[in-house]
Amino acid sequence: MRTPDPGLPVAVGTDDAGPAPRLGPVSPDAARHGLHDGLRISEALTRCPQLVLLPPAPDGEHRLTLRLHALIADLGMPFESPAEGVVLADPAPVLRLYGGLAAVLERLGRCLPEGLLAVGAAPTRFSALQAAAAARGRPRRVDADRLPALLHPLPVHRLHADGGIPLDVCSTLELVGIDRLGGLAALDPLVVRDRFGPAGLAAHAMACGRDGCEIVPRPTEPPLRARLEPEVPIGDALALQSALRLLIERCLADPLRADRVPRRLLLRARLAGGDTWHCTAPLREPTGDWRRLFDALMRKAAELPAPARLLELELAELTTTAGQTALFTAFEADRDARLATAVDQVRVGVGHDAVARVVPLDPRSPLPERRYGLLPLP
Amino acid sequence: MKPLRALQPRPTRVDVDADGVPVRVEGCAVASVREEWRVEEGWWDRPVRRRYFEVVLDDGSLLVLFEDRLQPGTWRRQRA
Repeated sequence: MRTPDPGLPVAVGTDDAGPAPRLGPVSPDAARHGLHDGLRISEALTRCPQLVLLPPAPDGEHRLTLRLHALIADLGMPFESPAEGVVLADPAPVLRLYGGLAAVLERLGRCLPEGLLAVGAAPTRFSALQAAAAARGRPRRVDADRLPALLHPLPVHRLHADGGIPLDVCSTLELVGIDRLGGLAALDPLVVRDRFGPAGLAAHAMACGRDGCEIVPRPTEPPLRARLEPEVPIGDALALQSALRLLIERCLADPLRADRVPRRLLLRARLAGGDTWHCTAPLREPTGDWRRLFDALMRKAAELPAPARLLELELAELTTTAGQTALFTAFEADRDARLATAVDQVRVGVGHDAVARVVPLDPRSPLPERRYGLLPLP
Repeated sequence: MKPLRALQPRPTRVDVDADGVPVRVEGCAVASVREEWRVEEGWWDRPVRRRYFEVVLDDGSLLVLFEDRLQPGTWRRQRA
């Protein structure tokens, strides 16, 4: 992928195949042309014909986010990650340790190489995100009395991008001529609530810098992941099915899982061309049944746009099952349990790697050694 | 997690006739050649050029052999 020339307006495209794809994050040069995250791509190209669109790299963004989580956790601050690449942290527990808010911000600013991280501090969640967006190289701190100066000039679409306000609320505000947060803050909150409901009231609170500052810290537990990196990219459906089955079984067999089951599956892929791809498969109810996990995942994985050189599966939102248990144990479950016992006994006598399973990798390959692989049983 | 390869080829010693067809494999004579085919792929990345033979030896065993055409004279046996 060629690096765009410096000075050109650049924005991240989208993998959304819908009728109105929208921009992702934009560079400062693109922002100067009036482009922003969430703008329709057709409109963006009309405003700025020289715009360079880059393909999204969800895998790279995710890894950077995980690295940031680890760095902030090392600093000792509880934090919350409302979106990929976004972290809200509470510095209160470490202010005395590091000698004040300025020192904490300075440490945060040095967490990652220059240009990769924007740090902001403000009294509320939404205003803190806007302070970070306005930071230029150094952490930006905004006190309560300067919130109107920060927030009021901002466009209302920021409420959707950073505040989770529904897009139609922001679009309607723009339609009636309220395109800045200052205009929204000047309205009577009761009128805004009558017109837009709770979402409007929340938007008004954000515009006024009164949206709250509570952090819901995420529990610190290691992610449950499995990764598969075949020599030959996985290109056909049969190989993909085998790969997903392997990944699910490996995740379910992880001792760290204990008796927890996922509510959501995350699949990430590095494609043959170098791009990355990811999908999320939500489950109707938490389950540890590999067949149901496979069915949910396969429906999404079928959208894989190119052969994958690497697949990574993560079981997310783990929870202990509290639902109804079956009256009878299924025959397959009983058989699998007895088989697992037999495998363990063989391993004790002969060695852990003595038991393996043959898995199809590329059964139609003209080269026999690429058709099947051996993996240890989980 | 990288899967180990199954059906890995192993080097073997093969004597051939004037047409390059195997007549002896590790000292055991070839009774018949059942099939011959070629595989050429990966020319854009990692080229593979092989000439395969399915042979029956004098002792009755069935073998699949191939000559690596990128390294003429290099023979391997493989289950297929």
